[in-house]
Amino acid sequence: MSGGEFLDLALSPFTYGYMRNAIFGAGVVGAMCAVLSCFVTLRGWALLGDALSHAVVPGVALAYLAGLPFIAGAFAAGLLAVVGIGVVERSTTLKGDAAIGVVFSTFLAAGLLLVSLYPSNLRLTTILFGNLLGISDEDLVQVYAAGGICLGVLLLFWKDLLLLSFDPAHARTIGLRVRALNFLLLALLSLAAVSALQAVGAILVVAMLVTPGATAYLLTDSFRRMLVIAPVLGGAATMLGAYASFFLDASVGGCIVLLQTAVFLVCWLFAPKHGLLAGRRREAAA
Amino acid sequence: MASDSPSIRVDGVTVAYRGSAPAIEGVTFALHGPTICALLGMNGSGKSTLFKAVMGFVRPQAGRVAIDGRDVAWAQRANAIAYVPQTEEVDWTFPVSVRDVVTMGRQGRMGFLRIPSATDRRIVADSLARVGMAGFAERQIGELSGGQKKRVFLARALAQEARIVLLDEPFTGVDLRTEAAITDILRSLRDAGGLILVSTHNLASVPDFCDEAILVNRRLVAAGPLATAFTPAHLDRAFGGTVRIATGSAGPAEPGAALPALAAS
Repeated sequence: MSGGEFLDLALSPFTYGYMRNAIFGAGVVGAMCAVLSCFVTLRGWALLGDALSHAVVPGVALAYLAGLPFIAGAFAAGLLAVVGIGVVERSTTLKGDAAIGVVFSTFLAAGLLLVSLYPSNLRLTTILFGNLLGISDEDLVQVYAAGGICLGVLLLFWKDLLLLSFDPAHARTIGLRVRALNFLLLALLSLAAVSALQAVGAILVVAMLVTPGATAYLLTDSFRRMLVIAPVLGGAATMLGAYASFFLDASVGGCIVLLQTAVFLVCWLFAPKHGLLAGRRREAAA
Repeated sequence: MASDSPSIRVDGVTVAYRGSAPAIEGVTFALHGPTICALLGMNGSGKSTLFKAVMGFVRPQAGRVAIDGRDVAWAQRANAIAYVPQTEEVDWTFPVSVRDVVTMGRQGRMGFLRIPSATDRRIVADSLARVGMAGFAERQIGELSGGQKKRVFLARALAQEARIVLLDEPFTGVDLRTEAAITDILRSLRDAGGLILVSTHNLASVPDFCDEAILVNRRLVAAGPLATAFTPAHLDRAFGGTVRIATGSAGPAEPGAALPALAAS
């Protein structure tokens, strides 16, 4: 194969409109989820992220039935789940993860029930496994808008969110509005979960909301740098995953998440300070 | 008493957590700066709950708390109280540097975008220098020794410039040099008019640097100047007889000789 032919082949996905939409849409979703994943990993909110991505399902179903933008329905369902978790947690002595487990499985079950009771063009497989290649121009606009809102809000509030994540007691003593900030972060998470739903499906959203932050954490001791590294890695891995799926003719969500995991593994082994090998070298030197 | 001196007034406060007996019941005391007051009691005696009530983290079922004569919500907005947490409460793996943490002491006073001003930066640098941590500003907090960790959070409290400072077990796991450095700083804060409330297990050091003591055992056992509050009889009631005291006098307990430097818990 000549160089020219190789280039033609390499660029061939971009000759299809649906692939361009998929790759750029995935990049935005990947970067947005990755920024939030910095907070998710540091707060130990992985389960909550998983819960949110499942809890948006009935919202998608209802919005579809009512002919509303699916992002609105999903966002509402996500927030309702968060409120539900909060109510169960506050009004019982149950541990937080039990409250999360009860609420999010209920929401997912309600979503499955709705989809099966009212058959429509909305496929269960789309919700659970995503359908990035079928992303419409309209959906894409919604995704870009969600990404813009998410990044804008974080630019304004990341320092308060960081302080709250690090030391909630200090946050309260200096008068930060702790409840409002927590709600804000959860709202952004819902927004990201909805946007990622179409890209990788409800089952794999949690990977997008955890892995890039975990990877960035291994690479730096500075939260500020995490906020840059995570979206760059997350966005790139997501775009590459979508791109690779074209040639492999394989599940887009699977490609994206496995690629993110591969990046994580490389960093886990080779990260300059927190990597496995660096740790071994330190032990050997000591 | 100058009307603008910092104050904590706890009036008949009862706090119960869901599904449990009250953690503290009918506790009443008043503190006015300048003072250093020790908060003493066994584990589970309600010391932490009392701190939480003063900082407004828990709402009392009965009674009320006033900070500088106003409610706790005002105190939070006004950055009136600085809190130095126990070492165990902090996530030391968090990706923040020493300077980041001390700068957080200023954050409540910064503008909407939380960008530190030149003044904020200067106060952070001064606070770091005051606790002897200026050379460690760029370190990730997990890379510090036990004593250095305490100093960083003390520096954050200094940077906050609050007139009331609450310290939760500041002396556990620190060397003598750090303990002396911390007590020196607490004294200077007091001499500048501050109100310092320190919960501690180290009874022997109390007469060394405290002016007052509050002893709790779910209910208030005693509160006031050391001479009247820090007595063998009160200690016995607060610690349920786990502290054996050699002297039978009713006067203030002697440091070292009369009280072993034990963790009375």
